[in-house]
Amino acid sequence: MLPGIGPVNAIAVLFPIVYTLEVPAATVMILFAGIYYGSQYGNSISSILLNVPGTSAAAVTTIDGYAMAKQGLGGKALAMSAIASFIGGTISIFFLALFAPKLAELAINFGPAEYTVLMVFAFIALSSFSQGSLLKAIISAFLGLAIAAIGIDSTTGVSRLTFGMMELYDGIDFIVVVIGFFAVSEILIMLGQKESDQSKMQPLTSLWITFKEMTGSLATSLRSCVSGFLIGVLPGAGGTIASFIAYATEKKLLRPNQFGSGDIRGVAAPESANNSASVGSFIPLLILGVPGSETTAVMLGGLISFGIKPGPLLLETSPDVFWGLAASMFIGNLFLIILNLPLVGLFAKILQTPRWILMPLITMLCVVGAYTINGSEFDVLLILIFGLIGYFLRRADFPLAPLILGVVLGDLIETNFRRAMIYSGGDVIIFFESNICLTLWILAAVSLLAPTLINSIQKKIHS
Amino acid sequence: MKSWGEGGADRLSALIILGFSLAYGYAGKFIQVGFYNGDIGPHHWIYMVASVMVLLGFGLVLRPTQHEFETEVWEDWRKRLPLVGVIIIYSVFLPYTGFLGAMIAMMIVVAKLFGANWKQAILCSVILSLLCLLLFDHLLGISLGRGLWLK
Repeated sequence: MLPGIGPVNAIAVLFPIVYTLEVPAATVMILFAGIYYGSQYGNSISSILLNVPGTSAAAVTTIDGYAMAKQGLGGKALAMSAIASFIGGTISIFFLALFAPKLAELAINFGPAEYTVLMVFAFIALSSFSQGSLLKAIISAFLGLAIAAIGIDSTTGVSRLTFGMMELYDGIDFIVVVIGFFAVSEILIMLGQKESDQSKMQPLTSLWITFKEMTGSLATSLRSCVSGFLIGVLPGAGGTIASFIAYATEKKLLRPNQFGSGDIRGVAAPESANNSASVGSFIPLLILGVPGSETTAVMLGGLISFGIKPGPLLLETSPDVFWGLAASMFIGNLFLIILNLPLVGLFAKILQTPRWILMPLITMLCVVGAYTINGSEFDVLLILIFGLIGYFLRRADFPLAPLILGVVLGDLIETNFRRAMIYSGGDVIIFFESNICLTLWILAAVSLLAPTLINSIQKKIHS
Repeated sequence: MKSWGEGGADRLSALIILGFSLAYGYAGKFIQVGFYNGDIGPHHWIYMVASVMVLLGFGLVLRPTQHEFETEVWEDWRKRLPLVGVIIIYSVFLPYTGFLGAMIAMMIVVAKLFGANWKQAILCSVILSLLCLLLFDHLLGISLGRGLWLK
């Protein structure tokens, strides 16, 4: 909800706490999932009232949401955002429960070669959908792989790149990397920014929506939910693309409309789509171990830290994680609408928290979080080093999501690659032999081309 | 930081990445492979990652995007450097002063950097640090560093 403090920062700051407390993995995933999809709605508050989207997924909501707020209809826009989020989130949970087991059955035949190609596909998909240059995204992913290789090699037990430092023998904890690259670099960036202009904030008006407005937006919410879910399932795509496409589709479908100047359906479409996409993104995350965004990449790292290996066998080995998560999403969505409508005024007030309270609090949680992982001051220094590197990478337009994916999947991709090479006697043809591998290569090629197509859709919206 | 011209910022980033990749690959030479003598050893992965990064780095040198660094404002670094310094000082002094002393000192500086006056900075730091200590150390049983006198 607070601009700049997205779900990834919230998870990064909270992760060390739950890790140290040894909370069960299913509970942790429920907590993180709650933060993830809750933030999809939370972002709409700052988008609608302040014209400042908390994340890129909420950017489309500002178009009609803020326009409505300026007309004194901010309450209606927020209520519609909550209702559309609820519709999108709830229906997509049923899709999740329906399609995930089917995909797991399909993916059960994966061997080391297939896993390696799957992870290559994940890197390509996440890199090509990242904002900016593809080359920079791939460099970013390899930087992540470089960080992941530090420490004891899991296959041979040989220490690598530790330079005799005992603190590096266990490798660099992914939580330290996440806190550094996301949270600390964000603090450094915020130090150079002026406080957002609170005078722009529009007053909160009545949340009451008429029956006509409700029924008029229902079809929009349902259509956007379906398209959002399908886009969310694609690794790398995520809420931003889902909300843009839903908005563009509705703008084209609904004639006449007032999209762009305060149409309530212009709020319903992106909100339903991005909530649905956030649920959809759990399918590749849990069933294939392929995250679709930086937040789900961090969640994947969390699962691995808790000894849970996401993949086709997850439904058999840890059904509590999968089904617990699905059930919690339904309950979470219900609470989202029950709590958000009456408490929206309070949330709007939180937006006005001065930065001199908020930022020291976040700095404290980062430092404490890093320290509590191993009880070591070395990790506090590491978050600072990664924070500075992250700051310069962000200034130079290098996306950070592929880097985190590199850190999270580094060990897995290396192990599977080496295993596959041992099986094949050093012949790389193993990565092109099976139908699964070929399909994944084709999907990787498609995901390389997809951003060009999506960019043209976005240009159409803006024009 | 001055402007490096169109694509110049990317070339600079690429050169840093090239330097890092070469150093990374060179460091792989010192891995004690031990008894392992197979085709794909622990050092080969390092070479592979370094080689690809070198190629990508060259790619960025040759085909930079239009990106230029926004001009860095020295005034902003006058705020960032104290933050960097205070985190280093925190990690150095934590074993001696313990959590409360080190954290309150750090938080006062951070709050001041974000525009608080002295009264606000001290109040915010003391209250948040005490709440944090209460939550982690007393309620959750997670030690945050006790300092020399409490060991």
